[in-house]
Order: sequence, then structure tokens, then C-alpha cells
Amino acid sequence: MSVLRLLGKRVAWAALVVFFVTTTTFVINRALPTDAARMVAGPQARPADVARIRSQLGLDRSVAEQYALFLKRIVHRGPRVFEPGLTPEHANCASALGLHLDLGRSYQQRRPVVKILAERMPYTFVLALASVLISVVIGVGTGVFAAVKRNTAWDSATVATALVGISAPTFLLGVVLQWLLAYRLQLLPLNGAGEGLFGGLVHLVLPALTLGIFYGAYYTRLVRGEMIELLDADYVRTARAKGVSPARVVVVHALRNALVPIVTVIGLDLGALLGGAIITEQLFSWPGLGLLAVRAMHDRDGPVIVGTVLVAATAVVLANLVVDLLYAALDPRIRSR
Amino acid sequence: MKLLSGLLGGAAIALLASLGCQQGKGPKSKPSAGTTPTRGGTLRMATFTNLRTIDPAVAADTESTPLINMLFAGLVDYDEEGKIVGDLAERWEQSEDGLTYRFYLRHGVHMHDGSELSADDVKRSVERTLSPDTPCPMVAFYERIDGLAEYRARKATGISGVTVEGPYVVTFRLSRPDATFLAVLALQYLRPVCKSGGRAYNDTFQNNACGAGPFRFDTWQQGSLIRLRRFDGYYDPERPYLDALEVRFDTSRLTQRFMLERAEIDAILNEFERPGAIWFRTHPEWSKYLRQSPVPEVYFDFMNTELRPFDDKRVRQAVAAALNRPNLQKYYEGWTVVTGHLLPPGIAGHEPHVPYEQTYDLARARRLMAEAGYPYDEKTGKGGYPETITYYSGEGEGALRYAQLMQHDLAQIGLRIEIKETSFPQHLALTGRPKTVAFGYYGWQLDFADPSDFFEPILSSSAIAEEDSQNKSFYRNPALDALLDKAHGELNPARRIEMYREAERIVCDDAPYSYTYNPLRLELLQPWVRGYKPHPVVHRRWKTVWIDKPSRDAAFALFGPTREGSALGALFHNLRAMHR
Repeated sequence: MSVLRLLGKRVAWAALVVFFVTTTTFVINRALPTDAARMVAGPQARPADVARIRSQLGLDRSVAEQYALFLKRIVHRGPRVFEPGLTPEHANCASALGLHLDLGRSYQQRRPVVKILAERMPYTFVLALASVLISVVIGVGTGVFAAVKRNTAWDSATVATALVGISAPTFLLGVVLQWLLAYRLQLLPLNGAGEGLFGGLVHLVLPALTLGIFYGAYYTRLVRGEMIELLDADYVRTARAKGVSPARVVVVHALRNALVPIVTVIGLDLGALLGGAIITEQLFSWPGLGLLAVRAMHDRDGPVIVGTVLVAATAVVLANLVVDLLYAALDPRIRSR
Repeated sequence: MKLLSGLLGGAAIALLASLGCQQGKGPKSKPSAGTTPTRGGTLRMATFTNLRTIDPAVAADTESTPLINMLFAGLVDYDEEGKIVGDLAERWEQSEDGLTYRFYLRHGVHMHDGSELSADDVKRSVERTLSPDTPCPMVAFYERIDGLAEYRARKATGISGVTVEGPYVVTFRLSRPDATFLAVLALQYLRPVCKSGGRAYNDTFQNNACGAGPFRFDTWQQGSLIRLRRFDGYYDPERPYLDALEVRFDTSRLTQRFMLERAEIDAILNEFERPGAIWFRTHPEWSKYLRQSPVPEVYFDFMNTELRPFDDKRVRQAVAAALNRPNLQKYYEGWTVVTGHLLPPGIAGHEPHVPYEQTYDLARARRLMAEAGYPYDEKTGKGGYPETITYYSGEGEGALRYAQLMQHDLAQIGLRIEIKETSFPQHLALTGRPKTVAFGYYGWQLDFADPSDFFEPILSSSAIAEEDSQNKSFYRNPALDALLDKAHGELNPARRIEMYREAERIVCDDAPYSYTYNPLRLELLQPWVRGYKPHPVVHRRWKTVWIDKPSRDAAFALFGPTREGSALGALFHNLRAMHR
């Protein structure tokens, strides 16, 4: 099977998975015993006004009808260049290469969902990348260190610290970091996203550190385990015997091979993080997808819920795909198969 | 190993020592001696919610209303005591029959786009909000305006009852007398918007909201913050004193506390976590700046009169009498005020205590249960109502604790309660369906300052609906309906209040609801925020608030005024400055 055909098959599967997840969300959200129109109008609006808003939102139609409408609109062909304000039928669309993506309008914010997602996605993506970067630095660094210092006090201290890191949930870790670094020591801003490059970076530190430590502690154990196994392997002993420098043995010979399983885990974690880190975003008022999803869920804002789920599902599926491709790049044996 | 543990231990001790030295600091400065309001400064606030809209036609949530009231001025507004006075209207006349209100606009009022406010703008804005194409959630308040029904049915192009009688004169004609008209006019919905607002709601207007209020729109970073700045063309040249208002969204209660201590925000407005509120309250310095004020809200338990055992009035009365309110007051002391009747503070006709209020009387409650056929023997614990009743409680610790206290009280008369915690959207949906939920918590806050607003939407039979009923007890009383209808149009204030007293007596005795408490609002302002007075009706009015600059500058000298005003931030700022 050629690589292209394999890739095509995988992409088709990915699309199918995303489709099913989105559909399920759509149906579940409308099956809940709650009233999105009531959530728009507020708890005190009179029933007649709520009923009118319900019909204005199209929520008085049957679920099948709403779903058909949703499917018809979600991906359709439209003009490449258009002015949303002047083209009412494409008012909610995002376009690329003549294809339009239309996820409807938020009930609560009364704005196109694609626009809301576009505002939030950069924040979540930056946070996800920064967290993964920090976690890899922490995880690989301490993991290799512990493996090299195997069965010493350094090793036990590293493993014990990592255990604390894994056990502490992000909301605890985050509050402790916020209290310590921002509130007490006043090194960092408490929350928010900041303005400009500098402001953005300074504000990114706390949320990224929270997630980075949490995932990093997990990678420590993973890297340590892999490395210990490989450092005992015959080919590593051979390399040592040949007189290769100890650093080169660890990094080139052992670590490079340890990377294959580690990259899988990191890739999947990245995929999950790209869908939004709910607790961390909430704690640090980081205006990403996670915060958006929680708020949408609380308000029963159907189109936004479906939109955030769509992004999260796509991220996970794509991460899977990329991990598979990376596998091949890292391990020649897989490539040849 | 020894070296390692030594190092770790030493670091921990050093850290703890550096942390300990800052414990329990108060505000960063004290108010200065100045008492004359001065211009300038930004009032910075935060909230754990998000902002949905700032368009007056569609906004009904607690976060948007105070901001809209600053952006848009109305024909009438409340004064500091809660009385309705002219705002954009200099004065008004009411006809003898109470059907016509003629408003005379102030001359030379400018809107944020520079144009002068005219009677046409008033009419256009009213028609914009009440247009059949606008998703206004509160059209019901205005249904007595003449010609509204035709307009909403698209049989007329305008509302015939709203007429322009000159550039500065506009008249509202009602189809029936309505004593609530000025109160609903004081709300945000019909306030004049600029011509850019158009003739019907358009969701892009809020990106450049434009009205005649003391503040104008500046920026709204979605999901992060909104900033309003002073409108220099406001009709009152003295006001407002502040240069800008700023609200940050999605900021947890705990973070708000940190931010206040660091002087990054100027106020915490009723969003405290309980330990934080206790800490501020007991703090010798901070407690001086706390304000606690009653709010026009009432909470109660509804009993569905269509479902057993609450179809029997005696059982409902027994529940209302079994609730140990004195005990509840002890538990809630300082947080809420326990009540036994409907009308909350801030509403005409409210008294802290009324002779007919529901009171704790265990003996009477047991007697009523026995009369209803469910005698209960407290010694053996036998008898009472045979089935367990499910109580739909709200979410969270506070709601559950109340439910448990009530559960304990009702066990004393032989009513066994099972508590079911429900999310807000679910609670709203389920309790509004007929014959679905027998018993649960419920509350009502004012829509507009008038006693009718606490009766008609939740106690009249016209408030019963197949879906989304707000009369959650499904209580029908034709005598009450007739009384409420008469009171709505009664124009003599004294007689009107008497009617609502009578209505309140009926609903205390019939007990579709067992009334429990009125909450208190807790607000903490920095020492330099001056001129703020909690308002009996509308909260968060910033028109008269000013910043005491010497006091604030003293605090900022210790801290930075910027969000990056931290040690690291300052370092980076200096480095960047050196670089240039």
C-alpha cells in the first residue's frame, strides 16, 4: 500500500470520527431536559417572551429538522470572498478555498460560532504548545537524569517529586503556583491574557507552568523507565565498549530510541490540550476554548458546545495522525513495513 | 542524601520565612482628607461571569445591566433614595385618567455620536426594542402601550401609542391605566440609542454601542475585559467624575481577593468566597471599607398545589410554620435576613415584619398536619406523611446546607424529605412543568421597582404555563387575580399599597410558598473609591463615584499601576527601557 493511500484512508477515518462525535454532541445537547431559550431570556423573563425567543432561535423545530439544517450548513460551497454583514446567508461562515464552514450562531452572544472559536483558538494553542514544551523539558531532563543516576538518592528524590507532581490535580497545583509566584512573591501577574508580546508571555507563564509541571512529572517516570531499559541494552553496551563518550551514549544511542513511545504519549496529550484546558484556563482567566466550553455548557449554548467539541475532536484525531507519521520518521522499521 | 535533604529543608525554611512576613496586610493606603470630588481615574472591577451583550434591547443579565445603565440614559431614572425622577426628560405630565404621559426632553442633550437627542430618537428606540424582529426578553412589561399589539403583529409600521409632538416632546398613550409604567420606563430596555442602532435589533450595534449615557463605549476584548470611557458631551458637565470603567471577566472569587490586596482592582462587588468574606470582615483595616446592603430579592420554597400532599392547604401551612426561622437567622446572621413574607426591602410596601407573616410555630404545624390526616408522634417517630418527598435544591454548598436545615425542621412534623441537587438550567426547566416537581427552592428578584413585580409573574393564574411556568406552585386564586389586576391600574399610591398588603396576606396564609430569606449584598471598595452609596433599587451606579488620587497614588507607589506591576514585570520593563 502506498503511503498516499494509507494517508488518505487515515484522513477519511479521522473525518468520520469527528463527524460522529459532533453528531452525538448535537443530539445529546438537544435531548437534555433543559431549555436553551430560557437560558437566553434569563430566569425572570415571562413565558410568552421565552416562547418567542425559542422560535426566533429555531428551537421550536424538531431535533431531526434542526439537525438536517445543521448538516446542510456545516460545510457548503460559497463565494471565496464575501462580506458577512452584506451577505446574510453567509453571515455565520468562515471560508477557505471556496468551502464554507458554518457552525451557526451562539444563542448567548448572538455572534457566529466560527468567529468566537477563531478568537479563542490562538490562546488555547499557545497555551498547549507552551505547556508541552515545558513538560518535555522537565520530563526528559529529569527522566534522563534519574535513569543515569539510577538507584541513588538523586533518583529516589526525582521519582518522589514526580509522584507529587502527578498526584496534585491541576486546580491544586495552579492555586499553589498562583498564590506563591504571583500573590506572595509578586513575580508574575495573577491571571488574564495580557497585551502585546511581552504582556502575553508574562501572563502565559503561570498557566503553562501549571500544565507543564503536571504533564512533565508524568513524562519523568515514562522517560526514566524507557531509558533504564535501553541503557542496559546490548547495543548501548557495545557503544560504550567502542569508547563512545558517555553523553553521546545517553543522548544519541539511548534517548533517541526511547523517544518513540514517548512521542506517542506527548502527541496525544498535545491533542487533548488543543481542545482546551478547562480547569487551568478557568483558574487563570485564560480566554481559551476550555473556558468557552464550560461557560457554553453552563448556559446550554448549543452551537458553541458543538463548535468546541468539533475543535477538540479534530485536535485529538489530527494528533493521532501526526503521531503515526512521526513513528515512521523516528523508527525506520515501521517505515519499511 | 544528607546533603540533599539539608538543601531541600533549608530552601523550605527560607521560603516559609519569606512568605510569613507578609501575612494579613490591609489596604495599601488610607483615604486622604479631601472631600470634594475630583475628576479622573479608572475604576477597575472584575467578575467571575462573562458579558453577553451591551445592547439595551436584549440584555437581561446581571452583568450587562449596570454597564448598559452607564452607556445609555433613559427618559427617567432613580434618584439616590430610589424615587423615580427625570433624566433625559426634564419633566413629564400625566393625564387625569392615567392613560397619557407627556415627556419634555432636556434641550441640547448630545449622544455619543455627537448628534442631538430628539423626540424622534426616543420613538425610534422604543420601536427598535419592541420590534417583532428584536429578541427582547421583556416585552411583557410594555404590553399596555397602545398600539403595541398591532405593531408586533406587523399590522402597523409603528407604535401608534408613542407620538412625537415636537422635537422635544414625546407622548406615551396606554390602553389601560398602569401604575408600573414609570418603573418599567426606568429600565434599560427602551433607552434611546443612536441612529446607528437602526429600527430593529442588529447584533453588530454592540461593537460600537452608542447612547446618551455618562460613559461611552471604548473597547471590548471578547472573553477578557470591557472598558467604557467618560463621555465629555454628557448633559451634566460635572459628571461623571471617573475617566473610565473597566471590568475583567472570568475572574474567580479567590483571584479577585488577590487582585484587591494587590491593588489591581478597586472593588469586589458581592463576589466573595466565604473564607475571603470572613477574612475581610474580621480584618481591622479592611472591614472599615466593607458595605453591606439589603437587596430587593426574596427566596422561598415552592409547594406545587397540584401535587400531593401540597394540594392540601393545611400541609402547606404546616411546612411554612415548621421552618425554624429563628434558628435559620442564627445560622445566617450577617449574611442574609430571614423573612416570613413576600415583599423584599427596596419595594414599596415592604416592612421588616408584618402581622400576617409566616412564623415558626411547631405546635401549630403538627396540629395542621393532624387535621390534614397525617398526625405525627414525635416520641415514636411514627405517623406523618407516608411517602418521602423529593426536594429540588440548588447547586452548591450554601443551597445544600439550607436544604438540610429545612429537611431537619420538616422531619419534626412527619414530612420526610429527600434532597435532589439540580443544576440551574435543569431546575428552571423541570420545575416549570405542570405536575412534575412537588417541592423545591425558588427565588425572585426585582425586574422593576414595583410590588406588582413580586406577585403577577409568580403568583397569578395567568403566570401558569404548560412549559416554563413561573408560578411554580401552579397556584390559582381568582380573588387574588382580581385584586392584582385592580392594583396594577390603581393610581393612588396609598390605596395601591393597601391592596398589595391584602394580596401579601392572602399568599402568606394560602402558603403556595414558604418564605425564607432576603440576601444582603456585600461590597468592598478600596479606600480611594469615594462617593459610592449602595442603592436601594439599582446596584452599581458609578455616576457620582470619584477616585481619591492622593490615596490611590500612595498605594500605587508601593505597587505598580500596571498589570505587569510585579517584581519580574518591573525588571522586564526596565530592561526594555534600557534597550531603547
